[in-house]
Amino acid sequence: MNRALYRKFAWNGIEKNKQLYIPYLIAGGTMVAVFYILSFLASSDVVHSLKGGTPITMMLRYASVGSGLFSVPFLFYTNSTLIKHRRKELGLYNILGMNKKNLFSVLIWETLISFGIVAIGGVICGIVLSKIAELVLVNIMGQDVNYQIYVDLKSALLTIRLYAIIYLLILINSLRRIKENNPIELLHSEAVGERPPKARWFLALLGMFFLVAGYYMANTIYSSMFKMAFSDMPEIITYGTQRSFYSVGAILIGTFLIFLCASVAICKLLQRNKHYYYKTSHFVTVSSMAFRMKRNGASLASICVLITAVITMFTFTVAFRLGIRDIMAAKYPYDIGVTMEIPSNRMLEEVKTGNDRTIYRQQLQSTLASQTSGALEKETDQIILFGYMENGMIDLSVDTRDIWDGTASFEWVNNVVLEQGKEIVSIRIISADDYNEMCGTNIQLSDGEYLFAYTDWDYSPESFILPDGTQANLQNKTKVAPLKSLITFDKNGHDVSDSIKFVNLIVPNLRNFLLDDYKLADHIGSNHILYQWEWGVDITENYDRVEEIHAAISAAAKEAYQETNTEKLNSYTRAERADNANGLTGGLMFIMIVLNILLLFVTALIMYYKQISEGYEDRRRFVIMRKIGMTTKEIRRSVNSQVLIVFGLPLMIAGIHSVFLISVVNFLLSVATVDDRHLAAKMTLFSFGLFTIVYAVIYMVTSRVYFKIINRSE
Amino acid sequence: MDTLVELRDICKIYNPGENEVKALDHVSLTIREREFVAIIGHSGSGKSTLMNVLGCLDVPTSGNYYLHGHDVAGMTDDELSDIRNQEIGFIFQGFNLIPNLTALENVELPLIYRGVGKRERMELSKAALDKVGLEKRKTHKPSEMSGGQQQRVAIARAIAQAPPIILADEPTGNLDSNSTREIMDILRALHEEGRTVILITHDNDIAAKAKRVIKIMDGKIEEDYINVTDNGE
Repeated sequence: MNRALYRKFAWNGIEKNKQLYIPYLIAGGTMVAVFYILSFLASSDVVHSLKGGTPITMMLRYASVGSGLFSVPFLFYTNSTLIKHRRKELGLYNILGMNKKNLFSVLIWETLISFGIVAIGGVICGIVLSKIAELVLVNIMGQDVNYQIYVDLKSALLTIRLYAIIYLLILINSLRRIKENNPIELLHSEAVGERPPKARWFLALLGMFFLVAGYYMANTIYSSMFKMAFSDMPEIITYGTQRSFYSVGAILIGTFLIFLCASVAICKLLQRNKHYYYKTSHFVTVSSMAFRMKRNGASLASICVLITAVITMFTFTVAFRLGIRDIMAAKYPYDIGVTMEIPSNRMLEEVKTGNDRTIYRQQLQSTLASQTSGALEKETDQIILFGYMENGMIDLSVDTRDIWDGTASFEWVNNVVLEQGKEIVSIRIISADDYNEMCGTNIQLSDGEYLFAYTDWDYSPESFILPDGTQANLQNKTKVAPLKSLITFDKNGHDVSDSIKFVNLIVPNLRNFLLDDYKLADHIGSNHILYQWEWGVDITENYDRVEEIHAAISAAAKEAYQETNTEKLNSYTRAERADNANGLTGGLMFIMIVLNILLLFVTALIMYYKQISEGYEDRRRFVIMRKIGMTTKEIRRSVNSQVLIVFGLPLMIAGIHSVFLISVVNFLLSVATVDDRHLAAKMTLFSFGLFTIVYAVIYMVTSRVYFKIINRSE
Repeated sequence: MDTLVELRDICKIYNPGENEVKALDHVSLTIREREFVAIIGHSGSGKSTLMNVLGCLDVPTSGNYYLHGHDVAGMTDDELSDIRNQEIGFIFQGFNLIPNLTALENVELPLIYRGVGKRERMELSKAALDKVGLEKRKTHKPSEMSGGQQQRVAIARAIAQAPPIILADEPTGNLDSNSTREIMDILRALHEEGRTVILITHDNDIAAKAKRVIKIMDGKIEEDYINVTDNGE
């Protein structure tokens, strides 16, 4: 055969099998386009120049690597489905005299043509869409950036090189599969009788074990982090991240084993129940389901994992985007803010006299006055300390030296807590005036009256006991709680309250409470107490001017603070922090949109392939079942229910996964400083509902192919 | 008549070892040019394996296979493909037509591999379709034809390149009695034209149409006789 003929055969092969090739080419083209877009944006100067552009660039880089990695198994899967259906044709060519070398040449040309279409089409789509993507990204982040239209040759070449390697690997795999079989095996590959599925009980149980372990790990992230309350924050985050990773990994393995083994095992179990099994409707459904699950286990597990990923990503990103707005307002209440921690050796004196604060205030005020006029000044102070909670009663007389010398391991703390039935809580004490200022409320407390303010507790503190043993007169409890501000809690300067329960205690007057009721002098050194002062101003200046004023104020604050440990001095401008947050959430939002579209597309494609393969399988079964006397109506009913179960199962299990993964989403949100635990649950419910509709539409569209194939036999 | 096919002591063993299956057990036979031979046997007797070996679709585990005096048992995969392309026309029970191609394109297929020019290819393909009575159906796809018509297209494909051997594996297995008769008439006509026809079947009535019958059982040739009932010969 001459070369032109190989090319012609290859082209004919693609053209004549367009029902299989079009989705395959679209899949490849989409992967190429997405990879190009992400690489383009990751190396885009425009994106990099955006505020918060650095973390976005990093995230885009990760996302592009992720999409590249995902392409490998996905394109292998789509190609294997394609080759499976073409083996008979290739076998026939082989029988009729085309030798293996000729077949290889045809396949090489088919791959070259496919790659050409996919690479050129994908990169062109990528170039067009990347411009749109850049606009969308800039728009999401509410920023105005001018940029020139250009093609990123580096990204284009990287994309082409990467996918050339992937297609080369796919080709090698296809050639290997063709080489292994003789012409008769190739010809009869579709007709080879399927072996009855075996119930692999061990693997089924192992799947259950992984799933339960994954769920357990996901749901104990908080309690296990609580045990680490006295560790460094980065250590806690690393621990939580690792735990999330392990739990997701265990759920992933569990899902595959459940779909591959447990589903067949359940069918086998039903088959053993003779009374149940030997009924017309059950007999066909159960026996067919066992085969169906064996055939489809891996792809259904993939669909399930993809759906879970879509729901979880969507939940996290939207909750993060919504949550971060509240956080920004609470964390950065002023246009420019300065927070200082009063060192413990001066704490008592400072509470009594307020001398240090006067010095700080004067310094900051004079700097401010030199920069701008008409600024609105505010200040708050707060004490943060530990308490025990037992039976709903908080005991402020805790001596942290009993349980913590600053280096104790969390296991030891955990044992103490468990043995004594006590729980360590973190308490922020603020005055009623500051509380009203922070929350926009107007509460009034008389002497000796107190208020608890907290969110998200499983059970609420009823009251508290003062160190002298008297029970305080709790005026009320409220869920209107100021969000955590710039709290730096443990002695290493990390916010412990992220991992243990946190309550605000509102007192009529902070100074009086600390000196007269709490007897601060007796507890400095025994309880781990922080005294924080926050000073802020609201000014009407433009962004750049605010930054300049902030620089001056920040320098003045450092000068006034005169402490060696400057970690305990923080300053910010709300606009700059909001920009960074917007950059982060905007970038995340964009990546989520791109990845969700990609994952939805992949899900739809797998379903499309499954509907085709199930259609061909069922068509054969239709004929056999009719021959053994089942009516068309009975067959249809049975097949419909099986197909519905097959495609409904991944959605159902993904729903269960998503519920258990709420804790992981909550953990990620809390790392990202969003601490509203109901938000993730609400968003999970919303995104599951939304995705169910999308999934149903995908199912209905792809099932048309199935019924088209089925009806051909009638 | 010259010897066309000669098998000497052919063995074909699947899964060598403890669970080995001896599909062909020291089979020796000779088929001369222009013979019409039916190989008959029950399911699992080894007749399909014998057909695969005869058709150069599989290689024997041991023994020699001479085609036109050349030993093909030790040939490479590529050489066997050439033999199949030039020496053997295949007809299958399941027709094995390419569903996306028209009748004419299906017939053209092996001629393309052979490097036959387009004009000649068209002429040969049309002539082959004409021979099986399907000239007017040349633009139809397999799904638009009956089982009997599809098998006739498969026969046209097998004879278009005028191979010396026609190897038919249960060619009437999927057909009704009318179509069976038509197909058998075509095969007989091809034999009368001078082709060597080797027919694999489990059906005694079909085998009775052949001149010579080779009965195979448990991988061994049990009987090899000339069919005297055919046209009183």
